[in-house]
Amino acid sequence: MPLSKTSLKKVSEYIWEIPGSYRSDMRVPGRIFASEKLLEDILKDESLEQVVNVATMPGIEKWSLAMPDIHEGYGFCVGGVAAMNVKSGVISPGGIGFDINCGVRLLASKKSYKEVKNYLADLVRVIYREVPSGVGRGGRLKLNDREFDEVLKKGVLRMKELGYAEDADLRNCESNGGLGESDPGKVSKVARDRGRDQLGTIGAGNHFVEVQRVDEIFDENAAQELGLQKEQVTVMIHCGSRGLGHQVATDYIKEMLRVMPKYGISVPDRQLACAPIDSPEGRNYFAAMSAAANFAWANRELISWEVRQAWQRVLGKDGGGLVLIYDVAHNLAKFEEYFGAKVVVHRKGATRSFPGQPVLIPGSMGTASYVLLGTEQSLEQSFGSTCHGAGRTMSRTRAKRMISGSDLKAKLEQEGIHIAAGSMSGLAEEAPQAYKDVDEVVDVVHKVGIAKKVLRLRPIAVVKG
Amino acid sequence: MPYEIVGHTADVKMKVRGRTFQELFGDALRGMNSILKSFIEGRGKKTRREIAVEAADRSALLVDFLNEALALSLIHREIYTEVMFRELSETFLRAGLVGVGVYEFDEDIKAVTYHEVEIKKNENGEWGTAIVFDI
Repeated sequence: MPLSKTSLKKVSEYIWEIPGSYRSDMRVPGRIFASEKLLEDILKDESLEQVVNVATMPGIEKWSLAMPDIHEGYGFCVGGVAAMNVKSGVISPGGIGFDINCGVRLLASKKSYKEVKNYLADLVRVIYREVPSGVGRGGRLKLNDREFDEVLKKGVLRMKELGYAEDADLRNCESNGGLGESDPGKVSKVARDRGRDQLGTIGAGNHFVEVQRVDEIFDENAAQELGLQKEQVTVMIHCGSRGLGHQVATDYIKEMLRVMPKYGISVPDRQLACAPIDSPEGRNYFAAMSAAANFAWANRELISWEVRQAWQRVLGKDGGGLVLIYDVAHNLAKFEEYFGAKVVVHRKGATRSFPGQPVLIPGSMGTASYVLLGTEQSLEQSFGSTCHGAGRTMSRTRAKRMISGSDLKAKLEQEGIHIAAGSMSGLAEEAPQAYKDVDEVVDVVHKVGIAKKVLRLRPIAVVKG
Repeated sequence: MPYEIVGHTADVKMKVRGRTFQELFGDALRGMNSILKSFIEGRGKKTRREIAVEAADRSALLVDFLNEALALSLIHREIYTEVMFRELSETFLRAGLVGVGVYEFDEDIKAVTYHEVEIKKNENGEWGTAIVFDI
């Protein structure tokens, strides 16, 4: 049974608490950032029970957190943040998710919507051709084992060495597009085989390449500093570590289930399988997760190269380049420090939100996306984290039953959004009606102060698998 | 149907049952295949693969078996339409899989999760469980 509103304590207008006394095995309270309206949706599924389950994990500090876009996952909810003490705490692959370093990047063109409008039909077609999508369509790079290891070790830096990245791309990525803790030796052969031909591909599900225009600016100075202005055309890329990351998570969840009894750990849901951070299994997972994260950054980099090729092909030399504004992960664990304690912050469907750092929040297909900036307050309230997107409210099966992909495509095209998609049923699954209202989600994090709104982007062309 | 796809907010949940423990495993594989690919067009010759899986208990064994088959499906672009269990206990299995090639899949299953898996026998003596797939 989902947890009821009467079990929650209202801390402030947008902060709700599940007291530590709600269940005897909780080590810390749960904390949810949500409006009354979003909370109604959140209470419909099992997500808050999952927040409670995470609150029972060894070494968890202060709160088990839920962002306003929270929805039911498996083990951890999606939109959850948990900080585990490095000495007494655990690391849990389920707290990062199967799509390790799923994330978002934003590229800015030098063109306005008016200048690009007449090229959009061609642009969407050429991007769809250049960026392989769907399940089972391989990418352009065929790497041998040694070359593959270099990608896993260096991420975006390796893409730069191979000629696929620009200098600024390295500077403008979270962690400069690579985690130094990576050890490709900790990635299984099966994981390598699943990812081997997938660099530069978006796959399916909610992943996309979207052409957008800056539709509204909330903070002129911040927008100017980012180099963005009203009506400017941007490109947003959303995807992650593909089959390689999925298999790394699968491998290590299995391994941690096996070793938990050795460490005397028990968890209320097997999907929370974990091991002490300071254990061989914990260290091995962190090294493999870092390799998968680097693969994801390299993947988004190669997709950017493909999009840049498409842009130049369609708009010619006058089209100018596409400059990376920022690239941020929303499924990752990081060593950080809060309230005097060294912790591993698990972010599953949550974005790092350090002061002054760009935060990119993609909306559902056809709806707005946002650029925000991280804040000091996020360090005090949410372990330097904020939301990651709209968050689902409707199951994929229900969305497919209720919505016709081709009707949806026609409707979006009437609204001036060009669409290229490999599958109409896949399109239906990602219909805006299946998601929470991204405007409401972003308003909550802005009002709580764990990120500040800079500008809003509207889609003008969408490419999906 | 021995399996049924039911709603789950983010992912896909399946309820599966079998008259025997072995049938449950076979039905779960068929159910997963139906998510991966609704129509199998077939490509090239049939392939055969051997797998061995060990787990702490029967529920984990089912998840690990499906994850093993899923990884092979995605790597080789095959759907395993037949499974022959050579050994099957509560914690170990050895099986042969017969696969047909496909060009693409309908859905990208990232993984089979342990989230709601609990294999139980019902009052009719049938084995059953729910399984959540991360999509």
